[in-house]
Amino acid sequence: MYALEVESLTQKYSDKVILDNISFKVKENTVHGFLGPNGAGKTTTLKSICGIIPIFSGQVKFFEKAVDYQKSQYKMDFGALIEEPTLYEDMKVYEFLKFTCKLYKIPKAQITKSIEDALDKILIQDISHRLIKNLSKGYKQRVAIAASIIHNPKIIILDEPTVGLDVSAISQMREVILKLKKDHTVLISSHILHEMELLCDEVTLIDKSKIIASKNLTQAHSSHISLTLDNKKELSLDEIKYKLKEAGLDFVNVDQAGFNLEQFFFTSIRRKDDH
Amino acid sequence: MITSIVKKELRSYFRSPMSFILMGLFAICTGWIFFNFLITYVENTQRLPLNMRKPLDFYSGVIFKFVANVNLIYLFIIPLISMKSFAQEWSSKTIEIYFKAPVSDFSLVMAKYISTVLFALMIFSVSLLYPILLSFIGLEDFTFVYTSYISMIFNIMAYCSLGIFVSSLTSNTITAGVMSFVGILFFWMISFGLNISSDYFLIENLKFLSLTTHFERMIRGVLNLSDLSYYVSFIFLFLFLTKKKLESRKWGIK
Repeated sequence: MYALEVESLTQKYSDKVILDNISFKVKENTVHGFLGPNGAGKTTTLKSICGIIPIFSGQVKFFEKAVDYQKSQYKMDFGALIEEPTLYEDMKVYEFLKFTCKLYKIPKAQITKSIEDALDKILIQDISHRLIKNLSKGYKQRVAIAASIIHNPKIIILDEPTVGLDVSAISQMREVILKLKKDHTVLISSHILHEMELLCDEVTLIDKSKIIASKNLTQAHSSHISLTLDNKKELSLDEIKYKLKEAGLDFVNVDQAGFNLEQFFFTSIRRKDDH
Repeated sequence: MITSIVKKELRSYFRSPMSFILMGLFAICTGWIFFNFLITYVENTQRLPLNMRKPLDFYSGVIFKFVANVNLIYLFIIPLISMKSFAQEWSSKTIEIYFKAPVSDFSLVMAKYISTVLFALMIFSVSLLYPILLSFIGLEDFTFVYTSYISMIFNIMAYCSLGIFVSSLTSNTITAGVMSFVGILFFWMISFGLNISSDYFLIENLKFLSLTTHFERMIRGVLNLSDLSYYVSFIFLFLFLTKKKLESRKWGIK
C-alpha cells in the first residue's frame, strides 16, 4: 500500500514554474529519499504536501485518500520538519512537547505516554528538562522531530534533517530515522547522496522542477548491474550477456557491480539533459 | 486549545524582563499622576468655601483626568505588548507550529487576542490600588470610578485588536509596534480639528469613528448601545481582518 501519492503536482509563483507536473509514490513503512540539487524544488514539494503553501494544481493522497487541505483533520496523518526546526526557545523540552500535545488535542491521560514515546523514539530522554535555547543544533533538530511525531502520525516528512550537523549528530540522526521506520513511513529530502544511500529503501530524484527518476535501492543493491552504452540505453545483466554472445565475443564472466547512488543520480540527470 | 495557547502566551510574557519593566513603569507613572491630581485637587478645594465644593469636581479633577492619562499611557503600552504576538512568530517561523497542528485560525487569533488583553489588564490592575486608597479616605460614590474603569477596559480591548492585526501583517516587531501606535493614534485623533470643516455629515461620521468620542461619553457615565456597538464592531473588525490575514496563506489551495 502506498502511504503517500503525489499526482501531477504543479506549483507556480507568478509565471515561474517551481514544480512541473511531478508525480511519485511512497510505500508504507519505508524510508523514501527525495533527492535533488539545491533549488530543484524539494522543499516546495514537501511544503505543498504539508499544505503549508497552496497547491496550484495536482493532488496529494495519504493512504489512497485524496487530502482535503480545507479541513484540518489531514494534519493528524503526518508530522513534518521543514527547513529549520521551529521551536519556542524559552521553553524546556518537556514543556514544549506538552504544549504540542495540547495543540494536537491529545487527551490529558495520554500526554505523558505520548511525550515519553516521542522522547524514546528520538533518543532524547536525557535532555527532556533542559531549556531548548541551550541545546546544540543536532538536539534542537531532534526535539523538532519529537514534536512532529508526538501525535503518532503514519507519515513523517523531514526536509534536510542533517544539514549543518556534525558527524556524530548525523550518525545519531541516521539511527533515529531508521528507528522511526519501524512504525512510520518516512519521506526525507536531501542533497547528501551518501547519507540517503545508507538510509533509504527507495529514492525519487528531482531536478529543475521535474521528477527525473525513481529507484528501489533495496533491489538495486541486491541485483543491480548496468552497462551504459553510447546511445545511453541501460541493459540488464542477462541482456548484456545475450548481446555479448550475439556479437560473438568470448567472455569468462560478467559480474554484478555494487549500486552507486551518486553514479545513478548523475547518470539520470545527464540522461534527462540529453533528452 | 485556546486555553493552552493563552497559558503559553502569558507564561512567555512573564518570562520576559520587558513585562516587569512595563509593569514597574506603569505603576510609577500612574502613581505619580494620581498623586499630583489628588494634591492639586486638595489644594484647589481647600481654597474654596465649603458651600462651593461639589462632589463632581472630585471626579473631573482627579478620576476623569487620571483615567484619560492612563489611556494616554496605553497608547504606548499596547503596541509594546501586541507587537510580538504575530510578528515574532512570523520572524522565528514558530507560526508553523500552529499551521502544522490542527489548530484553527479562529482559535489562534482568539488565543493571541485574549492573552494580549489579559496581560494588558494585568498591568492595568495596578491602578486599582488608587480607588481602593480613595475608599479609605472616605470616597463613597464609586459610580464614576466604575464607568471610567469599564470604558478603559473597552479601550484596551479595542487597542489590542488593532495591535494584533498590525502584528499579523509583518514579521518585524519594531514595524508592528510603530504601526500599532500610528493606528491607535489615528483612531484617537480622527475627530481632532474637525472645526476646519463645515461638512456636517463628514464631521459626524468622523466623530463616530473616533475612539475618543465614545471613550469620553462612557467615562462620564453615559453607557449607551451606540458606544457599546462601536467597541464591539471595532474589536470584531480587526479580529476578523487578522483571521483573514492568516487565511490568506491558504488562498488558492485545493
